Amino acid sequence: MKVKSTFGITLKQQIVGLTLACCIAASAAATEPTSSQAAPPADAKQQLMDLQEEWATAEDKHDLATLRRILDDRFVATFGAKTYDKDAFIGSFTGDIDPTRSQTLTYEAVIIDGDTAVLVGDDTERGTRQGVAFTKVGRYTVTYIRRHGQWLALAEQMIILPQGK
Amino acid sequence: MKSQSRLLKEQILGLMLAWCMAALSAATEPTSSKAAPAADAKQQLMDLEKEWAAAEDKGDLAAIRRILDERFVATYGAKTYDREGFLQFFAGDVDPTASQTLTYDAVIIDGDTAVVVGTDTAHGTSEGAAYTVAYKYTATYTSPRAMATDSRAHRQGAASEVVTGGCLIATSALGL
Repeated sequence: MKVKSTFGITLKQQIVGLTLACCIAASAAATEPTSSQAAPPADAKQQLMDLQEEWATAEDKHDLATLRRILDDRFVATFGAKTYDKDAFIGSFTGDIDPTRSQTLTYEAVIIDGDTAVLVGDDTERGTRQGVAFTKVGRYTVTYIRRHGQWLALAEQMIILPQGK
Repeated sequence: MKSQSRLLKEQILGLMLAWCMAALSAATEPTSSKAAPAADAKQQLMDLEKEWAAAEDKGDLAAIRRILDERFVATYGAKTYDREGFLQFFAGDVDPTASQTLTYDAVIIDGDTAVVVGTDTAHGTSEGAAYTVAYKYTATYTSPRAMATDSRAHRQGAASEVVTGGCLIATSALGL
């Protein structure tokens, strides 16, 4: 049975029309630029800062699965003169866990441009080495990309700051 | 004839629907590609790096300003500089002997993001004495908004777009 609307259009035609309209609207929305010059949404910034904390905790606990999830497969880390790929970087968190180890992160800059983000800040690391407590501070720059709604770390450069800085 | 016309209409509507669904599906694909970056995109990026280095050596502030995003941030050791702070490094007298040689450890291009990790060996003269300083650096580039208006073209040509109109948003360096 055909159901006619008040304008003489069949229900089927209305559904098809609505579907088309939705498709066109969705297609138009999808062709908008992926990035925005507007200030980064607070939630994206918070997501990144939470991810940084999760990353630091995973390092402290040698949670390799979490590190593997956070780091992009092409991740590259630079410490001093040396560069490490993802596996080499994760490999540095195997072995005995220091239960006193912790990291405190501060932020100098959080730049979010669409699906690209750069975070700059200090990482104050505390722990115990050969029975002696230590504190060292590193200035980090981390580049993230967002894929499928998930932020992934693509690169990190860490510069250990001289004591007293 | 009427039924043929209706059939034709339905076929057209069906085709339009299929096209829309296909377009929508393509539009929701991830913007990145795991494929190796196009060689020309990588070359363009390296050319841009050379242009940046040459602009620094010549004190060409306009060229540096064009390359750096307004939100650019640079970290050298314990200090972080914004774009204007960074430009001040190159605002004084030009050292005619200044030059930089760049080598690359990694060039990662993913959608509208690129990261370059390498070594910058700078030569020049300071107070009459020649010097050489090497820096290990990481630079992050992103493509400008205007280049990303067409989502489909953006995906297909993303690698080159990073470079063609690329903006540098961050760099970090350490003297070796």
